[in-house]
Amino acid sequence: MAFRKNKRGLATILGIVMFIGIAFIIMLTLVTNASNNNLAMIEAVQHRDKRLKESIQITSFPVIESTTFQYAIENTGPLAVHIVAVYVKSENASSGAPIGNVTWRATDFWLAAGESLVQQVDLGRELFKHDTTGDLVTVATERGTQATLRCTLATGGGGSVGPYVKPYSIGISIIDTPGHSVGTNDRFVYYIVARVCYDATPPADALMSPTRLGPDYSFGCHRGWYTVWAHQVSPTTKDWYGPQPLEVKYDTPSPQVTFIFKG
Amino acid sequence: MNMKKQRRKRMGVSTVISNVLMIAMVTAMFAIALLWSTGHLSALTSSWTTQTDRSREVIVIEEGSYDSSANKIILYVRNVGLITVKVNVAYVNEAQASPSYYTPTGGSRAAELVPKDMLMIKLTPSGSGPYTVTIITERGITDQIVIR
Repeated sequence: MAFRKNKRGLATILGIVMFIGIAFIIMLTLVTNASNNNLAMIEAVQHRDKRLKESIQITSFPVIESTTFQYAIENTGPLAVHIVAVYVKSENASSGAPIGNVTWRATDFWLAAGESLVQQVDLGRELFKHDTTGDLVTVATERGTQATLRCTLATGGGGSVGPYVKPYSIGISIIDTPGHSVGTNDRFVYYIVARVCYDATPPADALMSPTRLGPDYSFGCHRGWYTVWAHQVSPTTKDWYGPQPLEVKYDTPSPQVTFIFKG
Repeated sequence: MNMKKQRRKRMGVSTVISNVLMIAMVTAMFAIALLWSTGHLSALTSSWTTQTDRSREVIVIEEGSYDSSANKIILYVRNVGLITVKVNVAYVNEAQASPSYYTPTGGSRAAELVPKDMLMIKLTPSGSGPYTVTIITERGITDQIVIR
């Protein structure tokens, strides 16, 4: 009798198993759903925090004398940023584009925290300088951070990419030799690429200076290997100078490359 | 004999606890089943998901301009969030405008934007500038720009 009392029927066991199974499935569904939502929410908060920490600044337009303009961008935040777009908005009819016209260019480069870089954009016209209606240049990051700077006479002043943009610079000069002197109409374009390269003419990704009246020019740079070229473009397209590879090191932070004028 | 009879009638502590637990679980399951059958459970989980999705959705109008020759407002919009978004409503000075969607280079495209992607939106304003343009996604996330 006592033995029978402790025995459970098959239906009872099945009922208990089903009960536990259903309870488990329901709990698992709810817990998984809540956990997925919580993880997604944490990811969203982290993403927002990164967006809030991101900070970039356009510091200048170092060289704007040709249709290809350059802008110096600095990462002033603590995180690496991915620069994905640059916009140039015209606000003056004299700029060569209708007022309100926006030129968009995709970019794809990263800036480490504190790093500055000069980038080149083929605008198809000269960047317009004016204190109140100069072109507005906007740079945007992948996380939506933007930096805008109007190209005024102060920000858009010509000249070399100085050490305020990059810690070092490479100077390039073309010097006279007896019987050959750089004349007043001799104009040059200088090129630089951040690697060793032995091509007679610069590759497509080389940074190009505007046409220069003088025989001297300098590019801002970081440490590393570079190759430079010079090309006489006036009075007629003439000689190529270079390639000249060189390394910028701690002990030679601002080396000078000298080419001898061919005349 | 009397003692034996009394002991038999008393239940152990574990039996009481198991009964209480069983009743609690049955009640909980019944409550969950009731919520599920009335659609409240799916509404609840759907509301969690919507809230989460909204927090993961971010759009930015990177640049905007007014093309006076074509009477069009042009916006460059990027998805800087973590999920795909769909821009479906735009307002210009509080009046609804019909957006057309293009790639930044001018080709037609759909309004859905995967993360990091961008699109160009063209709108026809009804009045004169300056224009306050607001775009709204399917989940109600907005961004605004003033174009002078």
